[in-house]
Amino acid sequence: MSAFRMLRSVGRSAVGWTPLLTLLACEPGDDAVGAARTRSVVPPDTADAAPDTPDASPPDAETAEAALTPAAPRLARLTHRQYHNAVRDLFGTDIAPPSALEPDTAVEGLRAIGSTVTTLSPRGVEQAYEGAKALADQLLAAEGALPCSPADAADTACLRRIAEALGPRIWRRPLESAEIDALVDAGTRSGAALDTPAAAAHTVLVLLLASPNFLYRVEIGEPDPDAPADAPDARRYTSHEMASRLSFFLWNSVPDTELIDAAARGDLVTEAGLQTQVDRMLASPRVEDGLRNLFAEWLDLYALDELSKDPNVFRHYSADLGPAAREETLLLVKHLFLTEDHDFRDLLLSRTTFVNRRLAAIYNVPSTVDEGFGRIELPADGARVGFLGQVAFLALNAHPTASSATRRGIAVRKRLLCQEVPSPPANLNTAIPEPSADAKTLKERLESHQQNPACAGCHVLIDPPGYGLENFDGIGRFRLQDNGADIDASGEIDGNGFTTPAELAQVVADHPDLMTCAVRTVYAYANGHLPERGEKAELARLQESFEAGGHRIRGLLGAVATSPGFRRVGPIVTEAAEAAGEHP
Amino acid sequence: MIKPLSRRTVLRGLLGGAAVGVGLPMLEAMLGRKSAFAQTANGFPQRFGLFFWGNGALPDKFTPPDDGPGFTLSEQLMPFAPLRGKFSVVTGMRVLVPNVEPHFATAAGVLSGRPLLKAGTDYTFSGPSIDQFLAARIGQETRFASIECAAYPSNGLSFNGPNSQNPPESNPHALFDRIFGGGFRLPGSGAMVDPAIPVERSVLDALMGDVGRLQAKLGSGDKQRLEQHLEGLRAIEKRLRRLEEDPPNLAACAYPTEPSADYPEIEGRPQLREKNAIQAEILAMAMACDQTRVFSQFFTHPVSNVLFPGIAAGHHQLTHDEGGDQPQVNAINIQIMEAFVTFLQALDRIPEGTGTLLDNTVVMGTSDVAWGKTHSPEDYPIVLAGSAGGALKMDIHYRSPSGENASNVLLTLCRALGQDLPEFGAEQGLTRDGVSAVEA
Repeated sequence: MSAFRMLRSVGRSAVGWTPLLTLLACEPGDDAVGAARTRSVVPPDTADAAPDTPDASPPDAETAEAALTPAAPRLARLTHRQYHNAVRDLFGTDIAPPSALEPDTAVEGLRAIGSTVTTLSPRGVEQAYEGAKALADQLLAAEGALPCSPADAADTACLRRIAEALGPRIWRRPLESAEIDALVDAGTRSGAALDTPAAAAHTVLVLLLASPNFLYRVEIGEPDPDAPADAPDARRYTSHEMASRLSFFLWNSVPDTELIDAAARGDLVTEAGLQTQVDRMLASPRVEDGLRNLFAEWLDLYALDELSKDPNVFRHYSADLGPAAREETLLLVKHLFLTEDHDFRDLLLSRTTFVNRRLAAIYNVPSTVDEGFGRIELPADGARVGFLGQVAFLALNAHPTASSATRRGIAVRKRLLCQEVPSPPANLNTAIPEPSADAKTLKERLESHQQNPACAGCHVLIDPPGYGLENFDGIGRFRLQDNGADIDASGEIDGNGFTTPAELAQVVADHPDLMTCAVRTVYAYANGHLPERGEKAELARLQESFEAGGHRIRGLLGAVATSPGFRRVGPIVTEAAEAAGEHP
Repeated sequence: MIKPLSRRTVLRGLLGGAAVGVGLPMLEAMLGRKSAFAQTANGFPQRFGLFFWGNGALPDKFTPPDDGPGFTLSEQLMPFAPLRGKFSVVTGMRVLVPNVEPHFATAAGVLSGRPLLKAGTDYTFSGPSIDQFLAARIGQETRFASIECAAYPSNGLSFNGPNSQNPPESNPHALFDRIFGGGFRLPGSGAMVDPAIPVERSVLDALMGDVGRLQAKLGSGDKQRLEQHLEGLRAIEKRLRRLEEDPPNLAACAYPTEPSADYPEIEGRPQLREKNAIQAEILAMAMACDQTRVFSQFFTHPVSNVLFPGIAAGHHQLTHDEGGDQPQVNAINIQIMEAFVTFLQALDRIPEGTGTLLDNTVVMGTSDVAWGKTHSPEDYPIVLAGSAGGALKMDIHYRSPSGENASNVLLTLCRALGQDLPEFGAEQGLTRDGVSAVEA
């Protein structure tokens, strides 16, 4: 069957290296149920780039850095949120960022990766240009936003001051003197043409804010003066590029002045200087923005903006439910990993959560506050626990009028365990049976559907995590019955059984792929690409330190930010190299 | 520096709130610029449109029961009755590219004639979708090479190439503003050219210089991505140039109704019909004013699980879960065809020469799968509405007897729009044949 051709039978032959990606091995055929299991493979892109070699000599921590082949540089465009955060951090909250910007695209599940592979459409470029004009208008009107106001259309001294003061912050690097001259010249020409001093300053600001130097993150590296003898051509990110990489990774925004100063001193290409700044950044309140965005991308929480349910079926639904559900999850993330320093697995096991009145009604608990979100403790013996028990997960991965064991199962597999779920084969009758006397609940209907071996091959793997959540309806309300019959919330994931939602949460929390998925996701998020073959050892090293440190997210952020894989960069891939079939 | 304004008189009337121009034979010169291609015999430009919806149709309820001219309308095509003679239907075609990713592979096949491209573990289009393929050829004379629009928000399926997408505008008010807001001058209105335009053009030149300098530092992949950015800057510059020129002196050009700012959900159901109707009116007028000649309307997106009025579950869920003859899916398909017809009627209300704007346009209506239930690539639902100025035969149902390549339709569209191409598409989607039954 064609859809199963995507499977690659790369065995986990060697002990000790971290699987980069686990592909669900659906086994179509009569013996499907018995044969279902998971396998580990390297990502298909890197598997294509290099022949699969048996992992005979798993690298250990000491040799990991030497084994690193850094990835080629990638040009990321600022995401919608990064653009907004940049405007806030550059100009303050009185200056409104443009509301219409090119929407972000998630690739491999992350916008951070989408930002390095997608283009800005003509419409997106137009929006960025119009946005720059609107920002320039506001900056000219705001008191004290600029270092000076041009006295007349030919006040080149003031134009120069504007370019020199704002240029390095907006472009996140020092400007060359020719660049300053060009800005001043362009401003002067506009001032003369329209005969107003404001037009001159306006042009300087538009040229800064509509520039690719603002809209994209230009990080291409430099030769590493400390290159090891066996790799004399090794490259690293420059000190200024590191400032930008760190601030977008940890703060999801532009560097502050302290980071820019550290970059200018060359601190960010030294071990000690980098560690000092990373420690400071992780202690700064701004890390909350970074953590929120990381988890919102990882757990698909931005999709909650489009959450839509049938209010005739779910009387607790209203248009503000999706954003409120996202806020709940992000407040829990903040509580667990920022306010306190919990084990990552507590995201799945926490009985603490944060609800507003609407969410409290869905959870059937008293709200502790009249407005906004209050902290509550869910019953210790209840069904609802952790992220899998939150409306964000339950309602997003469901239908507008019903729950979906399949959608929830796929989300557990893909988002939390980084398992690739193959697409269904084409030309398959996908209808699940109508409720009947024999099969009333969704689980019973799905199981009877699995009598078809072509469906069962995959669904026997992807539906069971969702069975464990069938006690929650399509909006996340607890229920004991589905369609008048008692719900059986039992199932198994990769050989570990559960009978309740709380047991399911424990099984997922104990799954080894959860830990590798966390490291892989944070690494991919930080670098804007899926880990490549040459970064395998780096990932193993981070994995080891994550586990040795007790699965602390802040520890993982710090480890990635100071890791060679984040600091070193491969050569630029030129047309000539590409034509010769070379891969970085 | 500022060009003198033209004050040519235009015959125009307003009837019942809808703009009705008095159709006049039009010469090239009236467009204010030379246009050597993509014109109908009566001098009006040819336009191309895409009307796309998610989750396919029910082939046995979509396919007309008989073939040829004057065919009988099927149950799902009944809404087209008022447009009799202004559309043709092509069924029985098959998307031949590998169906590796349900909904997306067949969408890529039917819209681009090419297979999906695997990048990492994700997929993207391997080449331009038909709207962008044509925009590069017949869209270069107008202020906007193309306009992408969506009734339900999504990133659409308008691709320039791999990972290069044109997200559609789903807010009708923003669409109105973009086309008829700042800078737009109604022909004959005497509005002044904005004196800041020459200044803006030099700003854009400087920005293009910035992009070029940055490109020189980058690897080939990123250089290519920035080429798309340059395209965007060039497009703004072109738009400014068009605004400096005298506006095309088209009799039917008028301001469309300004849409309301917000279309909130009603009972959990988005106002797709209402948004679609106003978007159609804006796009129709954008073409009547020759601001663009290519558009796409993504009514819903692939795998859309949206709730339709009167329907008890999400669309995608129903295509898979509903039993029997799938009466609810059928009802949704009919609602979609009604919206499609509403859209076409907005074009058909605008007189051009002895016919209407729809007559000088061809709108291809299709979906991401043929049959949602099985993700089938066979027996694709395709409507061609408007003859592109007589280049296509209308009122035909052509049913392929042999599951011909769906790319044949795309090649026929290109040829109808003045593109003398020997072939279209790539790999399994490649074709050298059109659908001769609908070629005039």
